[in-house]
Amino acid sequence: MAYREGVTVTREEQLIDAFVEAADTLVDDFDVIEFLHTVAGRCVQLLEVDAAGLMLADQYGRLHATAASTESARLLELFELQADAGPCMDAFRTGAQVVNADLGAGQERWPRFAEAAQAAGFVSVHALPLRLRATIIGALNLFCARAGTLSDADVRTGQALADVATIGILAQRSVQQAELLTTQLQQALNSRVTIEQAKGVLAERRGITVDEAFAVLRAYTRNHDLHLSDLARQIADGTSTATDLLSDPRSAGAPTAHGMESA
Amino acid sequence: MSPVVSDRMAAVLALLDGDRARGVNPPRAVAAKAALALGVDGICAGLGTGPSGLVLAWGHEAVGTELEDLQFTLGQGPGLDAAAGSPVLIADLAAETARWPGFAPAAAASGVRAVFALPLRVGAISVGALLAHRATPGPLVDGALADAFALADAVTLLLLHRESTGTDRAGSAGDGPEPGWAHPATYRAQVHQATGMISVQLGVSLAEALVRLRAYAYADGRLIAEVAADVVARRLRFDDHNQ
Repeated sequence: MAYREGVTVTREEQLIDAFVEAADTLVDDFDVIEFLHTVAGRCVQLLEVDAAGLMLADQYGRLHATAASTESARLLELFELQADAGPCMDAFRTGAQVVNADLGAGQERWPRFAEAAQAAGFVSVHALPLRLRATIIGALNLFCARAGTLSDADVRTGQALADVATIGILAQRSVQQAELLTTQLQQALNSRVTIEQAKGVLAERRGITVDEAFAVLRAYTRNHDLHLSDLARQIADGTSTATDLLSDPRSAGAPTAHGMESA
Repeated sequence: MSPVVSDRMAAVLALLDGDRARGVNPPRAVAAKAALALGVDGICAGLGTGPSGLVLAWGHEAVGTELEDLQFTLGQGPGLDAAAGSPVLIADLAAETARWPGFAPAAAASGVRAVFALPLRVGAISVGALLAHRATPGPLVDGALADAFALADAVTLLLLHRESTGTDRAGSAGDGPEPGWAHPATYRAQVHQATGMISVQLGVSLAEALVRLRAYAYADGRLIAEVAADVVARRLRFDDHNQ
């Protein structure tokens, strides 16, 4: 019992270490490949798998091994084999997790890969998508040499590590392109101004406060699956067709008679 | 990493502020100083956002005028794209022939190798685009982009004010706004909220609403933020007052 508690605490501490380490890296200048290697190493440690690697897609949709827990030729070959067919390609194409794939049973899906992986001593394989919103940029590959399955907690942890890797890649791109960072910042700032303008339009149209207007705006975007900045722009520049949103729910179109004027 | 306006650009912005306070159009000489601060050969601003193109509104040097004319004639170019909302930063125009098949070769024939176009905007208000050009390829130097965005902000409000001069008595020459008005990034959120409210009250565009708000503040001898707070708190309505 005490031993098991000890293990639990250790794993929790390892998790904390891994994410604190990632956060520390991301707020500073860093080398993205080195960062991805660290993530791969953390996967082996935290998920108790025997090998881990990250594959990234190029502009033509081909996957490239980018970092691995161990840089062995045999492992790299397993990654290269998946450029055509394998669990990483499946995760990349579908955006779905490939978990606890039995390499014996996987012979039909990816015969060449399954054979090579078994020859390398692995029993099961997993692939988790590297995703940002609707975009998949690659996959995290995990290999196990012993029988057993990844638990739900393992999969969640693995996906979180994959997400951290994705964030790292995108952050690195921004860091290297100061122009992009400045531009994105400016776009974000201008979107904020647009939202304020839209709040004013909405407040006046509906006879509510600007705070209430923001709540209405947010609720509307959630209910209609819209982006806040897009809807705000349409409301502000008068191109929104959301008449239900823009009319005063109490009295259609009547001017509001709120405060008194001041000279 | 965070963008900061350089001292050189701050001096240019102060010039714009000062001249604005005397009711003068954005002076051409300031465009030359701004170009120097950004490390480019020339800067100009075009008004317009629709497919009809941009009309030169600021700047004097021949190449900038030619670029604006080209965009107007061809209906394509970085300024038009920027006016639609996104900054366009082209370090090497020769690589963009597919994007602007008419504009890119014509601009190159005029000796332009790099162009940088930023939208002139305040939130959803779009005025046009600021266009900087250089005879040598290459990106803007470090920090110049932040400077360019700051310049675009100031020029946006200068042109907004100037455009309203013909139609709006309160916006006529001589009615200079408060110092520092040309930096919308420092505006309180309430100024933008009030702009939206006034546009509904008067049935006018956001651009005109902002000009009216500023003119009212100036005529009343108050800060724009104070008047905006009154509008947002519904102590002041423009449809009750405005002549």
